[in-house]
Order: sequence, then C-alpha cells, then structure tokens
Amino acid sequence: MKLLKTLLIASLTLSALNAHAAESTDHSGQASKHSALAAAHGVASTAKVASAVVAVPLIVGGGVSVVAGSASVAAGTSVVNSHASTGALVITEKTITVDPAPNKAMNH
Amino acid sequence: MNRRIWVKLILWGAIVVSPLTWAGSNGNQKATIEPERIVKFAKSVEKYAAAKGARAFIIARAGRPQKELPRGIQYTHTAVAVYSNIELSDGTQAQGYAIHNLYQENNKPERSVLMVDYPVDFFWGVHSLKAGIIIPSADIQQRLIQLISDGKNADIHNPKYSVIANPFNAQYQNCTEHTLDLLNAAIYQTTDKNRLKANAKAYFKPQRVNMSPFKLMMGAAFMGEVTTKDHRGRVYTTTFASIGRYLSAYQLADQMVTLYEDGGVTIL
Repeated sequence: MKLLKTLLIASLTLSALNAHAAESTDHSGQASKHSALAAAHGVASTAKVASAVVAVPLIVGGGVSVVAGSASVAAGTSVVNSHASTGALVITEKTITVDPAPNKAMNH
Repeated sequence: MNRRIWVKLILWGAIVVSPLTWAGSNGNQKATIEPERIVKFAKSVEKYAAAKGARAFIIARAGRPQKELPRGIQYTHTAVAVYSNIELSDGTQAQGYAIHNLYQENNKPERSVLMVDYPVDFFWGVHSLKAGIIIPSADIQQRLIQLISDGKNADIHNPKYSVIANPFNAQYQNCTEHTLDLLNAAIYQTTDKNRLKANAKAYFKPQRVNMSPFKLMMGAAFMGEVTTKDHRGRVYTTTFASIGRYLSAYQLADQMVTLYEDGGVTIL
C-alpha cells in the first residue's frame, strides 16, 4: 500500500517539477492568438496588429544597423556612446507578433 | 481490483499528467488572461525598458502560478530582448524589442530551438502579468547585440533540453542557462563552451532546486524534458534571479526589477 501512496503522490506532484524555472515553450505560432489579438484591437484600441517579417538589432558598435529617419539613434554610434542608460527609445504603438505556424495558417 | 492493476493505473496517471502539465503552457495553449490586458502589459514592458534606454535586456515571465513553483523561483522562462528595427508584413518598419528565445520543440520537449518572437507572443499564456527585467551595463548590452547580430548565439545553443540543466557543464541547456551562456559569451567574448562553463563554475552561483530526490527521479522517468544525468548529488540550475545576483555581484547590472500590470515596480 505504501508503494501505491508513493506513486500516487508522485503522479500528483510531477506538475511542480514541470513548472520549474525553465518552462521554455513558445506561445508564438498559435492561430487562436492571432484571432484574439485582432478581435481585441478591433474593440479596444486603435493600434494595429502587425506580423513581423524580420527584426534587425539596432546599434551595433561601429556598424550601421540603424533606422533612417529615426530620431532616437544616430548612425555608427555604440550603445556605450549613446548613453544607453539615460536616453529613451522610440517604441511603436503597433502590436507586433509572429505569424501562425504553417498548418494553422493553411486553415485560414 | 488487485494491487498490480492499481500500480499500473497510477503509473499511467503519472505518464498522462506529465504531458498535460507540459501542454499547460505550450504553443497551443489559450490565453488565461484577457488579450487586451496582455497587449497592454506587453507594450508597457517595452516602454519601461525603452524609457531606461535599454538596447538589450534580460526578460522573464511567470508561466505558472507562484504556488506551483519551487521555493525561491518566481519566473519560468527567460530570454534576451533586443531593441530592433522590425520589418512588418505590410512592408513598413517599426521599432521595438525582438525577443531571442530558446524554446522547447512543440512535439519534442527534450529538444530546443532558437526562436525570435515579440513581447505579446512572449507573455501570451502567462498566469500573471509580471515581468522580470534585468538591464545589464551598457558595455554588456553592446556585446550582446554584437553577438546576436553575428549569429553567434547559435554557436552556444545546445538543443538537448532539460528543465533543470546543470549550468556547470554543457550536457543539457534550458532557456535560462542559454541566457547565462549568452551573457558569459558577451563578457568573455568567446563562444568556446569549455571556457564558458569553466567561468560559470568559477563565478556563477546557481539556484538549488528544492525538490526531493524521489520526485526528481520520477520526473526523470516520466518526463522527456527532465533529466538528472548532468548532476551529481544536489541539483542546482540557472534561474532569472541567480543571473541577476551574478551580474549584480560583479557590478554588471544597471537595473533588476519586477514590473507589474498596474505599473508598479519592485527593485530586486
């Protein structure tokens, strides 16, 4: 009977282990999220939902990965030189998301 | 019903519970919080970091209720957010944070892939709207961005996944250990795994996993993403908080906070 109890307790408590520090599952490719986001924005906000194609890090030391026309960055500056800890950065009001997984996209 | 049948039923129960609990936060999970609140919170996290001028920062989420987490652990997933120029599907461009993650594969929880997503994706499916934020020093930010721009984050990715990966060896890796490895790759400007692990062992203090050996053994037996093969004796792993303590100890963190849905901030 002890064995039974032990196994029962173990089965019920495995979820705690699973809920540990590194739950690394993605929420990005689900179709339901895209529908929900579209509905949420339709009702509650004027901001748009947009799918991302590619993201390029801004400000690479000595490089030119900089947005033309952006007031927040200057070509060729580094994070250190741009006083990263004090200067505010521009953030779009759009809600950016990744596209649904291929199989989900095909169902739309 | 005889004892053998009961044992089989319970064992099957354990097996069934495992994927169910894993599926509780997988890619097909529905949001447990209203989408409007997630959208607003995700944007507030971006604006908080942007107001601090963070070009790159460590971001964490709480994918499970606090009561289900082992003592000393508040966050379940950690990644690096990088201020980016984002090309959108309509051809326009926008500025915001792209999040560089190590995620478990959907159908192979014992394997991982590197994946970029965005704040609303990141916080989708969380159980509470709070974000862990560590803003490293400007020098480290610069090096992190360089590392990711050069694609060297892939060099230190180990696709063998364990939720309780030992940060002192390269046998397995999880999202938080990958974040630690990225930071050390930036600090020491190397992607040599032996050096990264040697330096982690010398300077980084991981979090002990407060869980009975039996429970760990059961987890290892029934859950593909749990193994103790890379540990000897007590189990220690990387957490958001232990990364924060590590950077703080060497004066390499500008800020370490929890940001809440109501805009409240707790300094960690």
